[in-house]
Amino acid sequence: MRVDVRLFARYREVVGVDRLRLELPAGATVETAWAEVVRGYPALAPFGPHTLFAVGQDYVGRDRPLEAGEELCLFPPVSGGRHVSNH
Amino acid sequence: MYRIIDRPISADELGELVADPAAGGICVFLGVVRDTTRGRRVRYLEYEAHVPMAESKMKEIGGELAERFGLHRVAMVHRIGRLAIGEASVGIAVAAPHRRMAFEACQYAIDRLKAVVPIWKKEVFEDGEVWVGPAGFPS
Repeated sequence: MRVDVRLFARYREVVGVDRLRLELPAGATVETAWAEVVRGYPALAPFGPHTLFAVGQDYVGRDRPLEAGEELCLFPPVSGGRHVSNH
Repeated sequence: MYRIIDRPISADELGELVADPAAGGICVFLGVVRDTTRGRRVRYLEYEAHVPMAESKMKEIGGELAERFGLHRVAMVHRIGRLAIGEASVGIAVAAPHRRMAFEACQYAIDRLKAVVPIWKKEVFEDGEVWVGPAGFPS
C-alpha cells in the first residue's frame, strides 16, 4: 500500500525534500514506515528516539497501523523541547 | 482566535479580541526573540509550523482553558517565517474575572503551547545555525 510521508524542519533539511512516498506491506505501522524512511535516509537514524508522529491533526504512537493513502508526518520535538507523544 | 500568521503580532489586537465586560483582568503574553542563546549571538530566528495541526492544537488548549479555568475569552497566535531580535513570535491573551486567574491561565496556555503545538525554531547565529531541540537531540 502507498503511504505519503511529510518531513518538517530539521528532517526536511536532512533528507532534502519535504515529502516521500512509501510502498509498505498491508498492516504496516508507524514504526514500519519510520524504519523504511531510515533505510532510505540513514542520516535520520540518530533522530529515532526523539521523533514525533502525526496523522491528520493528531499525534499517534509508533504502533498505530497505517492505512493506504494516509499521510504520516515526521516531527522533530516541538520548539519548547519537551517530549510528548500522547496529546 | 487560534492562528498561525506570517505578519507581526500586535498585543493591542490580542487584548481587544478577548475584551469582555465581565472581565476584571486581561493577561497578554508575548514571547519575543532574544539576542543571545547559550552565549551565542543570535542574528535572527526562523519558525516553521504544520499550520492546520498547530491551529487545531491551539484550539484544543483553548478547550483546556475552558475546562480547567472556565474561561472562554482566549486568543493565541504564533508567527512563522523569519523574525528579528525583539519581534514577538507568540502571543496569548486571556480574559478572566480576576487577575490571578488571568495570569495562571496565560501561563498554562504558553506552557502547553510549547509542549504540544507543532512549531519548530531555527536559531541563526553569526557563526552557524541550529534547530532547537531537547537535550540529547542530535545537533
